[in-house]
Amino acid sequence: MMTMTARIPLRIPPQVKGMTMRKRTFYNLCAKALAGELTDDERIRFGQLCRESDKWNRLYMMLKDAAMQNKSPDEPPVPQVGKEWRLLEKHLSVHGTRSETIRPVRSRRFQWLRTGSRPALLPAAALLLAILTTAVWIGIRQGSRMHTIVTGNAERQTVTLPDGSEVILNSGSTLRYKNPFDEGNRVVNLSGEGFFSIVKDVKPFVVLTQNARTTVLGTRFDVWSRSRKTRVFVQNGVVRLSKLDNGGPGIELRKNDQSMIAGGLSPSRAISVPADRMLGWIDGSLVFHTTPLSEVLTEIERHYDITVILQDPRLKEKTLTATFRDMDYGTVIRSVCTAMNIPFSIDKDIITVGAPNHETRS
Amino acid sequence: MKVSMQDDSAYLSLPDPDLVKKIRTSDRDAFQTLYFRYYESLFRFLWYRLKPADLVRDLLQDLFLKLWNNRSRLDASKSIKAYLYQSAHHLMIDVLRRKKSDVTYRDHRTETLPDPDSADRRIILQEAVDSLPPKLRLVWTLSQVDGFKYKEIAEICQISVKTVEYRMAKALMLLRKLLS
Repeated sequence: MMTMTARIPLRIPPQVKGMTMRKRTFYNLCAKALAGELTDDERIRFGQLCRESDKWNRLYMMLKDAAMQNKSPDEPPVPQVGKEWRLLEKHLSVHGTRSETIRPVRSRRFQWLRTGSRPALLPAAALLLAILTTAVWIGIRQGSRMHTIVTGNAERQTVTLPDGSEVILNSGSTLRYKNPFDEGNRVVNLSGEGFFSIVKDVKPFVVLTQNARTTVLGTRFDVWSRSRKTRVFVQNGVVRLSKLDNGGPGIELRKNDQSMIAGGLSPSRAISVPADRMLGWIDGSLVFHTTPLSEVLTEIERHYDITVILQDPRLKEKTLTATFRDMDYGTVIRSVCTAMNIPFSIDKDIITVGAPNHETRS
Repeated sequence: MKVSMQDDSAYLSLPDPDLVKKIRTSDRDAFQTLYFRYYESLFRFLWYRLKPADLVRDLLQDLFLKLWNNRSRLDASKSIKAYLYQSAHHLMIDVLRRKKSDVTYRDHRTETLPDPDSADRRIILQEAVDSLPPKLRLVWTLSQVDGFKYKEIAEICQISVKTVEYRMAKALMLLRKLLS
């Protein structure tokens, strides 16, 4: 009997079971580390694991590298939600039941071409589309009107809200609000960028963006919101900025304060920024202050309605500080690229920045 | 400054279940609010995997149209966010499956990637991720590509946070095997 019991651990080595447990723990913590979900205790535990064994450490580095590769290097284009909604809206039938066949919207981009069977209709359709991008779309039903204002690229528009407040919408932006505002509040929805001059009122004025809520009583401020980031700058007065869901009290911003909410994070600490840097776009300037090149090029694309291709992703994080006013895009691109010592080429409306890596092609 | 707001009557700040209830009664304003609330994040979700923006736009239009046509069957007690993401995920799987059998389809974006080394590795990893079982792949993509937190992933996939943890760990284990 004694020998039997002594042999058991040899036949089923306990460390094998222990190893798989450890392995499981490792992968669990590893995944959490990659997802930014480690608690403080887990971080210590994970650090120990990686220090203890070179194998774990190498494995983590490899997986981390793989995960980084998985993070797309490209920023998605900002969809023009207002425009898409207008297209869809035509297909919504109020009386439709579930038995109604679903008409595919899929081929609509080609439908336009087909309906204009005569070629002469094509320019007309293009013109109509161009007008539509800035057109104010108004839906009237049951007394309440939801207004959607969409600016195309290279367009800006000033909007007067039902309470008399004014919004200057930057290019490629969408603003939605009810006219009249609902009883007891003033709420608008923004994607893109707008500068708000709010008329004082006891009812709070609220700007909702994808991830943030900006609350004010009466003031002038700028809200910029693209790709799950919202940045707020206050020119005058007091503004409260909080996360969209369960935001808590958020933070209070005063004159010349700027703060940013990235994704689901809390607002960053307020920093003081000169107003001309934040509000240059209102008089048509392009203002960059240690702005990453990727963002600079996106702004230029929107500002001039052109296409810029960044050939070398390694340049994305390079930053630029500059102000451009009343210049054509050729001059702007030339200045940016000369200042940053990057090659570029301009072919009609398509601009290529940075030299492609030719090593593979030879 | 007062933080409290009485904007519960505004559609823009209505919580999802209330919007769903209104959509069930054919309220187009409520539907539009839902559309604007989720369009951009769904767009990103699909775009990262499918890329051509036109394709993503078309898929989303179909998705929302289907949602509207089936509005009478919506259940306000279930998460509409989960419904939207799961539908988008199914559409994505369909497209990828079709893409695989369509030899003429080329992903121009990966083709023109300048850095050959990282481009190759990205393709290898992409293939590895593609070959994960759908459940694991969805959790991995939501976390690593879309940057959702475990809690949000749990809501989207209608599973517990513990299951998210488990699937993430499992996905990593499989990826490691596929990559080495």
